[in-house]
Amino acid sequence: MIMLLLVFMYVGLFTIGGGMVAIPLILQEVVSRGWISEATFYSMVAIAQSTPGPVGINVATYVGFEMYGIPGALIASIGFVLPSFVIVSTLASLLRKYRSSNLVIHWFLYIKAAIIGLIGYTLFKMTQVIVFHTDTYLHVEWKELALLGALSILFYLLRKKPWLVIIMGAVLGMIFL
Amino acid sequence: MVSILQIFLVFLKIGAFTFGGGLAMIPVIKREIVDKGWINEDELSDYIAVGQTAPGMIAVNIAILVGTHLRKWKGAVAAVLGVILPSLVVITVIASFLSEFDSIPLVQAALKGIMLVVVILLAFALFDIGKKAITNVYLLAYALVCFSLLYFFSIPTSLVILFSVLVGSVHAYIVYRKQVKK
Repeated sequence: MIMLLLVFMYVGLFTIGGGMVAIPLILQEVVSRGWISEATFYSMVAIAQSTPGPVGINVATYVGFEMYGIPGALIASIGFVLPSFVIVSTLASLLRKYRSSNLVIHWFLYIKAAIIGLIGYTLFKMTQVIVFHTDTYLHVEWKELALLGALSILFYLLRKKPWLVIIMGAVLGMIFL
Repeated sequence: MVSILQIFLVFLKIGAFTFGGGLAMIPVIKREIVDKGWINEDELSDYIAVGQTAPGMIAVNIAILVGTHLRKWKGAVAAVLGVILPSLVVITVIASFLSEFDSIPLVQAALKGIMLVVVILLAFALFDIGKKAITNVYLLAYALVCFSLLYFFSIPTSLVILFSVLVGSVHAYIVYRKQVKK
């Protein structure tokens, strides 16, 4: 169990850039140690991506649970967030001190623009997977596209309650897709 | 002052309705936290930038930053517990009862429907945050360059962020030199 904690602390420390970075790191650690088979790991990732919560935390919880039940799930996810706790708290206090310095202002200027590029990238990738397939030639999923339009209108009407639109998306998906 | 319980509950809601990674969470955070007046939009965009740059999950990092902002370390602990609790519960339940959860057709259809909503959420986030972050043509061009690096060249996000720090440093140095000359 100590190893489980240490391995996930290591993963937490080297996950720079979110869940998609955590997954290959966890794969390397748990498969090479023979904790979990590669095939099982991939089905865990699929489930982790389709359930609520940050993907990395979901995978960590799953691996921990498979190994030692509920205590394992707790240890893996706590180990995962521990390094963030220390580093992010330190960054927060440094940020308060130096936010208005010339250097930090310019860092943020470009990091923020890069994040806009990143959000655009995620948006493109997701739309490509669900609505437009471009693997060989452009192929449009019309049912999905129509539902995307309908949900956009619902979202506009229910702006204050995005979680309600998520539930509606699930229900409409079950009916039409 | 915002109570510890309120922080926990709001992040519980955020954790429960985050599908498909940390960035999808941003619009939900904005509605739950900025619209309540707990932090302002500039602070949120700072926290997103730090959360993305620091190691760990973005969702968790933002929870730590917002929690610390509101109620020091107690707030951070409450926010993190809130954001990871839905994962712990949902995954534990699924792992104990179902092994082939994602291969059930009805589940797949529901997930596709949810993904469509996530696409809409992300599109709104893009414009919402974009308005604040992109203040001139050069930054717009820079955002497009980053998009291309990620999309066409599959450069890892961490390198793109590191590159941004570098470009920012160079820009800061140029500004510094100009001030010195004056």
